[in-house]
Amino acid sequence: MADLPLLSIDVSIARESFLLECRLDIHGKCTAIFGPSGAGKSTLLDLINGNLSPDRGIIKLGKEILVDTSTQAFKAPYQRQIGWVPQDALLFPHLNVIDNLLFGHRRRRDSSHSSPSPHQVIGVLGLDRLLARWPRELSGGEKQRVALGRALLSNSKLLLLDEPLASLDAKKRSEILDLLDEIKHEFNIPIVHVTHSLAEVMRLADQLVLIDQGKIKAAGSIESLMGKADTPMLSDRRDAGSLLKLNDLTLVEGRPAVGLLEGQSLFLPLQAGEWRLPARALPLRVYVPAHEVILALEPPNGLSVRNKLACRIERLIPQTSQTMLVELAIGQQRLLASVTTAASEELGLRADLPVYALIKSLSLDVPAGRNLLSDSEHL
Amino acid sequence: MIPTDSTVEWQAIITSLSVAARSLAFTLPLAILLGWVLARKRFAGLAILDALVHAPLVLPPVVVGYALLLTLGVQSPIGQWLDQVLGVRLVFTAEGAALAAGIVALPIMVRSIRLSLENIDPRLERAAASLGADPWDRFRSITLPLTLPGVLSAAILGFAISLGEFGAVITFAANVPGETQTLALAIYSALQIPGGEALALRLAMISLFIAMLALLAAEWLGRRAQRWHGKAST
Repeated sequence: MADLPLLSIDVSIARESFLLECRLDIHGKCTAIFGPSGAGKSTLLDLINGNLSPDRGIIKLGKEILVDTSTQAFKAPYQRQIGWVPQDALLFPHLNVIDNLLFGHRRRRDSSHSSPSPHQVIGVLGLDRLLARWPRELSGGEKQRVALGRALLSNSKLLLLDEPLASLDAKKRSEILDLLDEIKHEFNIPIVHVTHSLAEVMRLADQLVLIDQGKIKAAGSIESLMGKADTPMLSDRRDAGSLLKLNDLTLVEGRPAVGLLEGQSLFLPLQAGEWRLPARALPLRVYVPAHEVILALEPPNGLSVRNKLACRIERLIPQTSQTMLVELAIGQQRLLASVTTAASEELGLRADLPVYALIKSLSLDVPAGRNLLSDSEHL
Repeated sequence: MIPTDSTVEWQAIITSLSVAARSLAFTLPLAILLGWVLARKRFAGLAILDALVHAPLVLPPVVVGYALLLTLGVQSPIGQWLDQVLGVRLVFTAEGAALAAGIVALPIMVRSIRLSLENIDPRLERAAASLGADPWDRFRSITLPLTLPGVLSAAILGFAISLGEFGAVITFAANVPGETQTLALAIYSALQIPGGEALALRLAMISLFIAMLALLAAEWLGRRAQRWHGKAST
């Protein structure tokens, strides 16, 4: 990703209820800023797009200084080339869809970096039939699609998504997630995505920034943060879990059936209905909730569980007063299992102990996508 | 001597329309600017500016005319400078009448535009900025079109108020037939002449006709703007 702009942030700003202090380098293709309401996520976004100026500090987009309080440098929002998609889309009510889409495109400043064409964006977002419509005639999901297209066409160097799915129902949310996944792979624009939904984070992000009460609690690649038993804000959640990356897939009737995880087979749930692979199928991400993982000291027989992964205990961290979170190493990847303290003591679980992780294939969460692949057997 | 032909009526109609049109030409841009500043900007002297803009609404129009006479009259430093350097004389001229009428109309116009602006989500302007629109571009392509119903209603109200303004005009610009004698002033003059009631009545009917025409035009324009705005608004 060396050709992608790098966002460097080192700022502080006092707000009514907290002091935001942030030192952060963002260099993923899609970075999620995750935290509860009032954590400072939107303030951070306002600092990046120039709606707010920090009390102190510097923000750089690549080599370009957006703000530097030590030299009083400040680039106005309209000079930053940072696309913004807010929660409520904010389409211009007096312009129809095509004029909304082309608003930024007609004002683009420099074409030094490649940006998508209107034709491409309209095609990918499925906007062909909406072009002559007025914003008030669109559904929430359609508005978000237009807002995304409008930001993509403005020759942005960075796309800021401020909880764009928060006001949508589950079906629309899933549709837009598919599109965001596709945008991420189709267009060479880095995305910073603010959200308080872990499902969105797992679906889209490469990098994760955890923020609470104005402070960065952790930052890094999503797999590394989700696989650790002591990541703040994640490991103490009831839905704590890990993301596994599968680098090879065997398909049955165009659907993934078995994935390869560090040389071991992982049986995937058979998908019902019109299942479609994500835009870029590999590596395929699979989410494993920690409470769905059973540990055994020996390979069990006579069980319906199909996934029996040989792994090694990396460490054990108390999760609640009665449960432990066990971090397991499978090659370079990390898997979390949650067990009761009593079971842990009974089995004598300790670091470096080889164990088997048993996972029902039905408890794996595999994201669906838009692009249909041909019925090839292997990818 | 009471004029028997229709010269007085025509003169008064033309003077009224000319004064109202000139008044609108300078008050409308000023009202848009002031409305925008009062709705969007926050600075130390905001309350004072707000009070100054609205002062003509609560002052007797004669006081407005008198204040203009004091500040812009030929005896005043500004009036002398205007007269000697720019060759502009406002007292007893149609321009002066337009200025006096415009200042009386200004607060109502600013109010209408400001209310319209306050109904627009300021984040729309931020969205436009993120798409590369500079401040003037944002005002021209987002703020102004969305304020259009308010601007139209301000323009028509301002025109109507300028047409009928009496106190400020007679104090600052006097009652010169063919120059500053608008319909309202002509009615007043007719009533001063014995037997001028018939002329006053004719002028009053004409005033009523023009006012009705302006109100109907306002209604029509307002509906069109509302329909357009309704079609566009989310």
